[in-house]
Amino acid sequence: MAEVTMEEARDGAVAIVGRTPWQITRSRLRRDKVTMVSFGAAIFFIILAAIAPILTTLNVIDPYTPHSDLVGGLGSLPLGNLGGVSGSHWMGVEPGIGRDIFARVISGLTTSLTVAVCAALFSVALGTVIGIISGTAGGKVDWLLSRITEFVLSFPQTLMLIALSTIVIDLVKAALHVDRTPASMVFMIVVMGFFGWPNFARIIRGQVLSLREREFVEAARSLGAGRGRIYFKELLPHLWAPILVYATLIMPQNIATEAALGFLGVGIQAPTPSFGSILNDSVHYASADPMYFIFPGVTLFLVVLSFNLLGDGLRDALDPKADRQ
Amino acid sequence: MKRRSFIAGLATTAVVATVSACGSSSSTTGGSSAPAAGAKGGTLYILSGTATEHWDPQRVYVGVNIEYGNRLFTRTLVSWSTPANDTEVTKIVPDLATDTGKVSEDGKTWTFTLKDGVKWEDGSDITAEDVKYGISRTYAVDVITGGPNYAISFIDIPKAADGTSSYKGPYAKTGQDLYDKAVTVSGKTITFKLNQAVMDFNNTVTMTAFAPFKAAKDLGDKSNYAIFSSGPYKLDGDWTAEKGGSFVRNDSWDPATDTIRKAYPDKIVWDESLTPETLYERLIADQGTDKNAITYDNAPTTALGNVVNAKGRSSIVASPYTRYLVPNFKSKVMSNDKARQALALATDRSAYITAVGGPQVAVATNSLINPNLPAFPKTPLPAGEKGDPAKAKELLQASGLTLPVKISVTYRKRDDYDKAFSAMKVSWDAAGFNTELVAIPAKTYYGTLQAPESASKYDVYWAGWGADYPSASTDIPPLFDSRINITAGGPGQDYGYFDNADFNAKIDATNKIADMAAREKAWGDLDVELTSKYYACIPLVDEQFVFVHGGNVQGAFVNGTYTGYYDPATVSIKS
Repeated sequence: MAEVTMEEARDGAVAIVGRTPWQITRSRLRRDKVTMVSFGAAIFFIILAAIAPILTTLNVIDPYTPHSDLVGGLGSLPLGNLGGVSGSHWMGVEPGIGRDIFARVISGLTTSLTVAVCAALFSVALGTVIGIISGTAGGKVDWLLSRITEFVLSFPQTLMLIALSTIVIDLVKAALHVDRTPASMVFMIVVMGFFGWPNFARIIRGQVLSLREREFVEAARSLGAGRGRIYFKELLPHLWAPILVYATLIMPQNIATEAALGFLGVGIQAPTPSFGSILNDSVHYASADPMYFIFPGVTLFLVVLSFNLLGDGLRDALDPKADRQ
Repeated sequence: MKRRSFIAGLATTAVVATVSACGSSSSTTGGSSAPAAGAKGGTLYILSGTATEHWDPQRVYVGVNIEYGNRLFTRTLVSWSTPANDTEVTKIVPDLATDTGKVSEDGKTWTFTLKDGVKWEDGSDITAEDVKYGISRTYAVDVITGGPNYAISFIDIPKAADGTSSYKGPYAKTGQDLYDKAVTVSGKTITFKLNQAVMDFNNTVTMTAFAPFKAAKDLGDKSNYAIFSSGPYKLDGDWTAEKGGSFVRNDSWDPATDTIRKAYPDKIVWDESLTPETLYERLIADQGTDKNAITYDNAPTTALGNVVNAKGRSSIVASPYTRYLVPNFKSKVMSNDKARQALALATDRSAYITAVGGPQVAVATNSLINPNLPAFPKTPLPAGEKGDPAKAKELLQASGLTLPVKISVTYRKRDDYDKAFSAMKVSWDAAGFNTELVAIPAKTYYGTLQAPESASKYDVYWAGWGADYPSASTDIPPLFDSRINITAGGPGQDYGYFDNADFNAKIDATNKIADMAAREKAWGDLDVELTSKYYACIPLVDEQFVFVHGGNVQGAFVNGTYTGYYDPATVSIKS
């Protein structure tokens, strides 16, 4: 190509623009096929969970109507192959009652994801606030908050949930004037959220500790910025990365906890579907009606997997120490 | 008896009738025609997922523990013979006593004489004093808890001002002279003076609460699992709650004195640390030591589909249990007569039957009384197995309540019950109710129903019951006589607070009827009033039991008359 003089280069050169961290992240993600697929899957499941109640009201799916004609024999197992799979029942029907498993699975997704997402948001919000305060205040405040963090961490979450459930759900019902199912969900969100914040607070505190000595914070302080401004305008933008990653990684953990609670009988009351109650029942049918376990089991596996892979991918993409492209 | 098993038998009533008619003893020869003698030896495994609460004979109230305790180490004055198949009706036969008891003309005095040669596991003789002492322990109600109160109800000891017995048991000894007057011992003979005519008292006496207890071995509450045997087996080592224990032969037991127990196995291992699902998978798979195993746990609904793989070693038999709903008369909705009737009319029993495993394991009923009892009134279902939500809705609209009527229904938490109630909710909601389901874990279920706070929280309760012995007098009064149940501390077993003076008066009148057949018919009439006049009880189903045993086990037959489980007295292990 033709030689370019210094003057021509300066005038007509293509401006070299530095990319923002978000742009770096976005281009890394675009190259990471696995994470993009997981992202799509996670969005797909969230949308499915969101529209399930609408589909139920519109009678497109029906997770509640029993079909006793579709089950029979000693044990009331589904008649027909693969646990009763047919054109109107894509995943078959439940033994003992004949309800449509596909409808129950996606309605269960609504319940389980709602609880998991809200609990995650609760943990993240509480953890961020406490982490920032702890990291910036230092001294006695930091010491006190750190001890509280450790104290909460030492509690066995599942046992607490079992022990508190009956009493607290009745309290919530009375206080908020709601039915049992929303009360159970509020209970699980609050308790799971409450036990999820300590780990996150520590991460945030660590980040804040390393950030607060940086020049831009000192600059802001020397310009007279109050504490609130420092927290929200200076520090928070640098914390989105760990927040996002933690939120996506705690989601599958919350889903699993909700499922475990169903196992232990401390969960969503029948007839509302949830992954916990579905799997709790279907695991015992593993030999007599395996599809009843496989369909919901595989669905749950895919949901948890997609959030896990998304979280991993985000963590890699947001890592400032990764290779520059 | 408490919600678990019981004796439900038909021909026993024939025996009882014979006894009451002639007012004298009837002596029958030992056990029923047993199958060909089994092989001696081997180890029998008893697998279970249900923890044993008590082995103390005066505290046992659960059918399984009554039967198994009696067959292994707690002999009683009289007991039930052994069946040769799953459906044979068994009868009362002498065990420690020489005959099935002598009763006076007025039915108020009963006499039993002990056999010679019956010994405790330490070689000492079992005496009539031991029997007297054992029964007296029931009166120490603050220590010896959990057992049936028939001794207190029937034995002629005056009541104190607060309604409790004037005799406070052998530890406190208050009123000991009153007990000594009512229960007298002369040599090997023990005589009971009763406060009312109890023509089937020898039926009552088969419960282990009337078994002998050696005073020197009495540790009070600590005797709970400290088994001291009078039967063919004794405890080897300790019993661990929720885990079990092992039993070896009791050399002091003389088979010549025992026509009931064959004691074929050398050793018995009792493992109650499992879950019903796991143990049924093992029994059906029939591998290793599971071939020598029996269980008293009913097959869980999830295992029913696989029971077909256990050909020749499974049994489906009538259980003594009836499942029913109780409306809470203290709730605003259920105190409304039309609302209760609407609920009954809209109840879909077929959905319940499907959820628990199909018509082979549950039969729809509209009677609290079990079909095996003579009192069974055969009440027809008000609207067929599926119920009639449309008709129910009309009733509800005429009730004065605003539709949809919110109701809260409790049941014992179980996966198949989740489905049963979810399906019944569909019919109830179609009838104009707005049903909220509340599953309560098994451990706290009845405790919750009996707590006074529950009266203001729930509208309908699920419950289960089986007669203590083949008379409906153990069905109706224990559950619906408000006078012996409702106190400031709760409803007792009258979970719905049903309190009706006319009904109570009819209970009293029925108790006075001398002729047994007429009396049982009167109980049947009261059952009909409960279900079809007051709607104080909505019976759902009579459950059937499904059992499986290992391939090497022989002689395992269900003794339906005596608690309804495999009778271990005739079990042997094929070598």
